[in-house]
Amino acid sequence: MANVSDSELIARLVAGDEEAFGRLVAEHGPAARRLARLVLRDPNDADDAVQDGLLAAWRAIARFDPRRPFRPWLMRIVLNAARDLRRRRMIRETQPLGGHEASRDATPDRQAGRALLRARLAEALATLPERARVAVTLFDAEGYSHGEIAELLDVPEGTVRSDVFHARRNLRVLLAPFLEEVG
Amino acid sequence: MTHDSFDYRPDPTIGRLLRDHLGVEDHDAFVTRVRDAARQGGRRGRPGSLPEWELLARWFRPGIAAAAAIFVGALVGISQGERGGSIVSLAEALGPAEAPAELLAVDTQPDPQVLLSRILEGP
Repeated sequence: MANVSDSELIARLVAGDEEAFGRLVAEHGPAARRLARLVLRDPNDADDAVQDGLLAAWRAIARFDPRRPFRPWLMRIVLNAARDLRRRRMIRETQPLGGHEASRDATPDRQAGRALLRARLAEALATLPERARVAVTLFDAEGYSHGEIAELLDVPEGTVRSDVFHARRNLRVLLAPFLEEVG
Repeated sequence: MTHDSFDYRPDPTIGRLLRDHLGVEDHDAFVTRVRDAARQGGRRGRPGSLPEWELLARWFRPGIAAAAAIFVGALVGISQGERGGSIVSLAEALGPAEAPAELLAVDTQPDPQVLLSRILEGP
């Protein structure tokens, strides 16, 4: 099927085309899953939260304003679902992101240096407040604008800029030995 | 390294590391899982389905109208029952021979003087 815009898929979904829902999940699912992992730090919990969020968005799609961008709207729902699941499961904030679970899931061909980098990145992310983790990831990894992130997190744009700056600075300090290799 | 923390543009190195670190596996399986859940959940809620309070609000007006109709019907029934009850009591008091049809057939209160005279006159 040819590339179809979000607005076209949403119109189809509202009209009852369930295939359109699958297309939207395929398109936005990876970013949603990464976002949920930032909050929940456990891949299985994160996928549960993303599924909850996607189904909530599916049921609420008729209330979505098509004049606004779809992705921030969807990500906000996913973020709320992840935070809600975290509250329900009482996941401890101090558990390092991508800890034992990530190592257990690593494929055998991963090199030792890469595993070390992942471990260091997990530790570095764990030092950041959740909002800063989300902000820097959405900005640097997902390509969101400061304004989109501000709307998603419901904070002023200046706060997002500050969060991104501080998070990026901390990550660069903690990952300095690796950045020259991968950069 | 040309990128610094003050840069207003996305940092490609940090971004690549984060994407790799948070990388999601088996996305096709995840898509299938969510679609299956949507199909199962579709029995309870379709795309764009209303929240419960909106659904309840839709039932509110017909519910009020039905309750009002039942209430009015009950009032009419009670009123007619009371009126019918008084007629039956009157008929029982007078007895078959003492209850002229013209008195019982009407739904207005009988004239007490007519009733009294009929009772005093006897059968």
